[in-house]
Amino acid sequence: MSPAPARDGPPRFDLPYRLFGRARGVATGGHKALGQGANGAFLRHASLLEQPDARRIDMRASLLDPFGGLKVRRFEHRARIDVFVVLDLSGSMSFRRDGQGEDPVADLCAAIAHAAIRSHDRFGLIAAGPEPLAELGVRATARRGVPDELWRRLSAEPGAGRGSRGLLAAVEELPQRRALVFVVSDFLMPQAEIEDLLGALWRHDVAPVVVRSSAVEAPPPRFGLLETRDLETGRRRLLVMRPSLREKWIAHARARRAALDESFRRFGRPAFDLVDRFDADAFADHLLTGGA
Amino acid sequence: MRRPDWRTVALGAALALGVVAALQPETEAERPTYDVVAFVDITGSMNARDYRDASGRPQSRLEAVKTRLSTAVGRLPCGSKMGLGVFTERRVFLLFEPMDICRNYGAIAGAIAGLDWRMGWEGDSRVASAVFAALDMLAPMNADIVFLTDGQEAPPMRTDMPLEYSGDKDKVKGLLVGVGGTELVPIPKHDDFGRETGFYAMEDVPQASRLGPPPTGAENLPGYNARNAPFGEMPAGEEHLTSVRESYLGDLGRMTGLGYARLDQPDALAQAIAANARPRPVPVAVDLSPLPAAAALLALVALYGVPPLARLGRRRAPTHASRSFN
Amino acid sequence: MTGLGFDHPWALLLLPLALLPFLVSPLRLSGVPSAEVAPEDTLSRAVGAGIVALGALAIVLLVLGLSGLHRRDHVVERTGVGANIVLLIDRSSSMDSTFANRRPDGAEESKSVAARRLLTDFAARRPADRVAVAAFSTAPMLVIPMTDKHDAVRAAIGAIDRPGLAHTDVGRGLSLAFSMFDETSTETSRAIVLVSDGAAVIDRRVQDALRAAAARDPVRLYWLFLRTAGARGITDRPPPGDPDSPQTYPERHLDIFFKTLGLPYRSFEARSAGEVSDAIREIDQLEQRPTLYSETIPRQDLDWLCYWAAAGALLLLLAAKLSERRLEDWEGEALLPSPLRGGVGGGGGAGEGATRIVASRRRALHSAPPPTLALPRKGGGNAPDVHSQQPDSGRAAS
Repeated sequence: MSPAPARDGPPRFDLPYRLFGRARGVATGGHKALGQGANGAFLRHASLLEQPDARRIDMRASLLDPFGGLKVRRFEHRARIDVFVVLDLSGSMSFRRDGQGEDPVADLCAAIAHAAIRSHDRFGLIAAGPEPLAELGVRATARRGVPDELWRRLSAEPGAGRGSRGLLAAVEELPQRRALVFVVSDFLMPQAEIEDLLGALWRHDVAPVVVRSSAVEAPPPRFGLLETRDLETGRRRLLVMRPSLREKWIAHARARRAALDESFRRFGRPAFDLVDRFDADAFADHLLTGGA
Repeated sequence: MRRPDWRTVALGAALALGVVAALQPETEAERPTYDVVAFVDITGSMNARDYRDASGRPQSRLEAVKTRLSTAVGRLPCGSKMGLGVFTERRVFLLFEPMDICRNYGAIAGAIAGLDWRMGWEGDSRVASAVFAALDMLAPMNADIVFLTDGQEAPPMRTDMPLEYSGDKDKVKGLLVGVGGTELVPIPKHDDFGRETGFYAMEDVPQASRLGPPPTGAENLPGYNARNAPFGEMPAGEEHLTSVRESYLGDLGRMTGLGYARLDQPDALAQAIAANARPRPVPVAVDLSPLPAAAALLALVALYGVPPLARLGRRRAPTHASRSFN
Repeated sequence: MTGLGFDHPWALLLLPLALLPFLVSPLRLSGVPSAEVAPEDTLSRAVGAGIVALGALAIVLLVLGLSGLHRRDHVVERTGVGANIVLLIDRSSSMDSTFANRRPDGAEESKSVAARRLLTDFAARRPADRVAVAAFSTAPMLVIPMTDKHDAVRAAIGAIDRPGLAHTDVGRGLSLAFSMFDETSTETSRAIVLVSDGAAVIDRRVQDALRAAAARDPVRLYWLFLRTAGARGITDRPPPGDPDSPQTYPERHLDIFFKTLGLPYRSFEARSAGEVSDAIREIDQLEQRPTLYSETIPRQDLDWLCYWAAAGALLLLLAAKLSERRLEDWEGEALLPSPLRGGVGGGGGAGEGATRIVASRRRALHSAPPPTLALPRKGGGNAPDVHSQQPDSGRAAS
């Protein structure tokens, strides 16, 4: 099968995401679920009396049974899950997302949507800045057009406002059933707020995605005056760039990232770093090794 | 290198303009200055109180002259000179010659404040003669005249003998300043010790001139007596009351080539002096530095002021643009 | 005292403009997701405050310059050697004749002209003096109050050769002179110089007043008597038999009266301009006492100083502006390793099929459907299908 033409963002690929633990739900899908099903990975043998399914009689096992009972193969149930993206669209997320160049966030969300729908899961999105952005949200759906549409909408929505308190309110709308939730944010909020958010998502399998920009983590090496403006608060800061400050700056960024990692580990998974641009391979690697 | 930021340009411009301002560019200009001698009438009628001071209390004409004249000369451009004289009887008495007002303002103001009717050496008030005398005095000094008087001739002028001025009308310029109100007011009377003892009554002052030969036809006047009363008996009159004689002073001014102004607020007096005295241009350096300094300030204000204004405009305009998708 | 003044104080209304630098930066700002991305830095904070201050300072200085800041002319008290002198000058008409009692002609100057000339010299020689000038004739006249402006003194002395008035009222002139010393003139240095060419009877009441004034304000009194040829002198005594009354010998009796005042008193009788000059020189030598006099320091414009300082501030600002850096010009440097790529990962076990996908490259990844894909509904995930749904997708999603 050929990839979708890149009319709405970069080409999209399937992603090997996985839900930690077993999914619940009756709708058939691609994820290990609670219960037994008729298809998929072998689980155990059962007696035909217990499970009168003549089509799945395991002849070999029946013959090897010293008691001569007829054995029926039981399989794991595989269920469909909901894949959600909880997207922080506060002002800080507008950094380098002016709709001109690449938009890694839109790329990532569209890629997740694409992959989820391709995997016969449902995809949904919850976006919030300081207030929940209901009109940007996507209800759990398997509709095919969603990735492209989402990509276009997110590209046009740089994010605004101060703080991401809206996220906490918005995650209430997630389904009760355990879902895979990608929390996409720069996590440049107070540690307590991060933990509140992660705590509110206890029911779900949370996969954080940290949106980072190497430009602000490692400043330009030249001497000079750099005046920064906080995209959320508008606060200005003047910085006298020099090697010692640059080193301090990098160390500062490292420390912040390490603290973040600490939180994420406490709440489950390590985070994926979306640095500068969306690298589908790296994301796939991440999902395989550390994530779902 | 990229095109520099406009703010860099604004800063550079402000810097350059600031340096230009600091170098104090100058241009030469001429400023009119005046050289005047003020003569103040200190005769008795100047004690009449028909002015009001700043707090609204009645003020004598002489006091009004003193406060307003010293303020007015302070308004004359620097480099102007002023002398001071007093007038009673038929002559003027020069207290000091013209001196630079700006440098000696304290002394001038002190001298003006020291004017007193007690300086008067005689009670008569021959305004026209004194003006002529003052003009004679000033002609060799090349100074202009400011003659402050109420115009009250005491004793009154002969109505049948027209006044004539024989001097040169253009030698001395300047103005007569009429002091007093247009309403008739009584004149305070003082005793030998200078204490005020009431007001002059009609009988206290001559109501008509008795100078010179009697006019023709005086025989027909009431009370005529060839030896004892060649002018007839003293007619009733209002010479014991006083008001500013504006028309008389105006005529006197026209006769002598002087202007006339009523004593009003100091600014008006300074303007009247400037309008009537001969301006003597002196070269002065005019500092041009405010121009580049103002431009530098403008550049700085633009540097700091335009971004917030632009932001304000941007915020107002595109409310629909950010949500255009929905 | 020393004070600052403004030529155009209304221009100070522009001072609030100096608040602008606190609100706006001359540098181009670089948006960052959060102010916390940069570490705290004391130097940076100081420089930031400095740039704000420089901007405000430049505006304040320009406004101050525009409003014509200057140091007002002020008076400095100095001590010098001189005196506080009241020149009491006779301006009776007799002063207009010469010492020989003739009408002045080209050869001989009148007494008033000589007095004017010599007194002008006298005042010019003594810069530390404070001088007041009074004239007397029929009435006493204050000419110039006590001043250290020698211009003013010269102008006042300059007027004494104008035609004078009839009488000589010495007594009231003197009492005016006594009243002209102000508080700033130190008591020890007060002197009255009476210049006259005659004397007159002093009214008894005025005599009493003068005695009281002399007791109250001790001054030194000098009488410079310009004696006209043929007139009586100070020391002339009446021949025996003649009545010795103030009416007939006013000069002698005035001298006697002065001596009774109890003041340091000297009289000088001058019969010619030369003698006047000698007398004045003697007074000059006698009146050498410490005095407080004031000197006026003329106003100093300070606007040029403001402009230079503003230019200095602007130069620093420009230097700051020229060393401006922006994040926008900077692509960044991936110095920070992703914690996961650094080998931290591997927390979850690999599910089935995982190894296959890890091994596959991108091309393989997107061409292979997930291995455990359940039966596709509605014909599976074909790309054309995706795009055919686009027209109504927006509506469906919102």
